[in-house]
Amino acid sequence: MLFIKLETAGQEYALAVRSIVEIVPYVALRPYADAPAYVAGMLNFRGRVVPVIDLVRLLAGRAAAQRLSTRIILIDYPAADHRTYLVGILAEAITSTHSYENPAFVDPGYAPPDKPFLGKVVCDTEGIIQRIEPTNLLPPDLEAQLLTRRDTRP
Amino acid sequence: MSTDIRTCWKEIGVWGDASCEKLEEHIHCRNCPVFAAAGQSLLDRPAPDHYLAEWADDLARVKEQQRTGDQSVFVFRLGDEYFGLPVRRIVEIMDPQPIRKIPHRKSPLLKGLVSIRGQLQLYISLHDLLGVTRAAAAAPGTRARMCIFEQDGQHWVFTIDECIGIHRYAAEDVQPLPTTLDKAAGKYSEGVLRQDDARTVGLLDVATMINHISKSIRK
Repeated sequence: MLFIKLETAGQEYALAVRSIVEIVPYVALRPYADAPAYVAGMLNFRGRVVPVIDLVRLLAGRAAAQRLSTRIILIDYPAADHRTYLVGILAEAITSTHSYENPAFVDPGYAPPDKPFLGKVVCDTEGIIQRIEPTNLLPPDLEAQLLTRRDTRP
Repeated sequence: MSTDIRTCWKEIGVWGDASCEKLEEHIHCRNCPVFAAAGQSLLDRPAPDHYLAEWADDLARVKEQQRTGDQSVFVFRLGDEYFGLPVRRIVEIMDPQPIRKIPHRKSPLLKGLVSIRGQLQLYISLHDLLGVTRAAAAAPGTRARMCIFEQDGQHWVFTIDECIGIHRYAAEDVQPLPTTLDKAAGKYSEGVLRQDDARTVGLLDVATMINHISKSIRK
């Protein structure tokens, strides 16, 4: 399986490319008023309003840096209503892809309840890399507000 | 920012005095992970303002649906008309070869045999099948070619007045035949394709065409 590697706060993470639609630079986003800090804002993606989740805020508790390697990963997000929605994930240090065998991933043993998107880990020459499961990025109430309950008609 | 990068490849690498011990393993600096990491670190620079603004504009624009031609057709001219055959059916296009008449056979379509590298192949007249008259005077710069076409393992040879080339199209670009068409060409066409230069190409229905030729030859 092919993954893109990303790095936040010195730790490396991997995100499977299967669900990725497109990777775009970190362009200016329109913020949601009074939304949780990890909801970075709205992206105008080819005329569609796509919510962008700040993975750096979720993992490291700070805003993502404005660098060339900070990018928005657009994924097909499978929501609770069995439909997929376009969601952006903002992450830092996206410069490479890597191929890992699926059986190489092992359970890390501790699953933080507030970070259900952290998946299994794999050992690499550069250290231990944890998988990001993008399906668990949004808590149910936020998913309903941002995606499923939203009327996307212009 | 560039001062942060240690340019070891210019000092002890292949662009320097080549004294780096890692060269034994990597042979050239471009294979070395240190060199790769230095290259990737360029992406840690802050993004220029105009770059992000440009991207924001580009992302906001609705992508034009690109019509991907997933089918390809070999377009050729017979007389004044243009026809297309599926490219995968075309075996070879070559200069005209002598046609050997078959004695005691007067089929309107089967005109004889052509020797293609020692193999005798059936030569048919696509002009007569499609009811196209041969162009009286060939336009300068164009030349007739022989085309070998394959269907169910059987090769057929015919002459075309001009090779136009391979044209890619999407299945939805095919338009239905005009209802007023009653020529033989309409009988063996499954649709028409309008090319960019307003040329209309008749897509030949291979199965019907070969079926008719086979029947006509057996008579």
